[in-house]
Amino acid sequence: MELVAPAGSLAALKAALQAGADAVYLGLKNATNARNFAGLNFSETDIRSGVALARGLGRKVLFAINTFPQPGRTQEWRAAVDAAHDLGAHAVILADPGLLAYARDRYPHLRLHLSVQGSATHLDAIELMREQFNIQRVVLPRVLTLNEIAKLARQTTVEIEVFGFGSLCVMAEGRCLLSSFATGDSPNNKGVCSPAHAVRWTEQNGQLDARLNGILIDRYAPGEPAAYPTLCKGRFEVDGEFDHALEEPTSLNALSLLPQLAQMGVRAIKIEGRQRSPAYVAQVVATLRAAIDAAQAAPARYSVRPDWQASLARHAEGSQTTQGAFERPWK
Amino acid sequence: MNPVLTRLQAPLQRLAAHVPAPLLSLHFAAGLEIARRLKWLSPPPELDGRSFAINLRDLGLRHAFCCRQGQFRPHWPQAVDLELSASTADFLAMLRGQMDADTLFFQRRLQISGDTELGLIVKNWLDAAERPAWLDKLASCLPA
Ligand code: SF4
Repeated sequence: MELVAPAGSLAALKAALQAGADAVYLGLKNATNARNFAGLNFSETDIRSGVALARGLGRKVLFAINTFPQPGRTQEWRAAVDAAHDLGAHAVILADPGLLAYARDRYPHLRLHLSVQGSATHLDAIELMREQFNIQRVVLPRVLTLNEIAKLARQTTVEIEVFGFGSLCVMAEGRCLLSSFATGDSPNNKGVCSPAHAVRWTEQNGQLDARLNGILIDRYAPGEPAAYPTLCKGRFEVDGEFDHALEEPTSLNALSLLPQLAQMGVRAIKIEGRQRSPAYVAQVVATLRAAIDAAQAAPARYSVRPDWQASLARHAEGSQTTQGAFERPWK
Repeated sequence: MNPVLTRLQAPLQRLAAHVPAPLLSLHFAAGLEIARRLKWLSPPPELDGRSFAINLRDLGLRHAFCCRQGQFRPHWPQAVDLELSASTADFLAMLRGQMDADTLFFQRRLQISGDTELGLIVKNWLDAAERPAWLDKLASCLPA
């Protein structure tokens, strides 16, 4: 199983490679990727150095171009695919069918991965993408159970990548308009779901208020763990009850499921967090590297070490982790 | 907190109580300017004309500075565009590239107020900066 790590900067890419990532995914400094944050991402010069470094070590660099081209601006997204090809990408991670068609026609030898933003949650969707665009890998949205993933892995020849750690997105990715409702920007059109220009934090006497475009989305008590200011993880009053209306802030942690995922034939484990620092990348990659190696060396004897668990829990959103949709006995 | 900082805490708190804020800002901005001239901290253009405060909670020290024409300068007014508050040890760990700002934020150890977008630019700029050898040497005298 390949370990795919996030990189928001050349320093993070180096940290990922040093810690044992098999592949690193990154984006350009524009709206063509779903982490279009101020000051984040790669210049072409940085990408050149990063690709050279990765190739020298026999590792891979994947380009995320996973937002949806906006009307009249298709050329920006096509240019990103051209840049990825010219800069030596091992694969491009795309979501938009028009862009997939462009990449397939223009660069028939470039590997195509269907982004989690492409929202392919069932066999027909994956097979359609394979038949039409010859995708070689699909990144599954974090809404599927282990049984559903196992079934898909049996039914398709397309490689399967799943998330192993990181902040959770609770919707079928690629279809969320929550932030667009509040701010006009969404992951699909601007590559952000809590655009920084709309976020305001105010703390008084230890009580922290999070506002998105003026809308109060959460109020943390003194010392209570905080989360990213996304609407999905806010607390609201619904039917007289004040709680997390959609999902608690938490990070996905699939450490204990690695042998099962490997046995199902899952080809890659992805770590979320291109917005995080090289320190996060180094620590999370090193932990998952050790765990994947142990799961592959002796699956029957595999058990999650407490220090791995502690290392991941430290970095978790809301300071708590979950197995998310992977384990849903009722489904 | 590491032993060196623990020993320094009381004298630094006294210092903060007696030394006027502008003087502290002067020294802090001078420190940043030295780091810039040593070619470690070269501020991105987005920081130009913006003002900042670093609040070392445990020491009760607040340093305000601004960035003008690519250089760090002391900042006298109380109001700033972005203020970051954390313990000295956590700031040092972030500067050394050993601690993730979001992790600190989730744990409520890092507080951000003011312009969040500017905060993101600062965070991503520091994250992208390669740590020079001299910083590690300096940090080894003050283990975070
Ligand atoms: S707002 Fe929440 S559910 Fe929607 S894309 Fe962002 S993280 Fe996912």
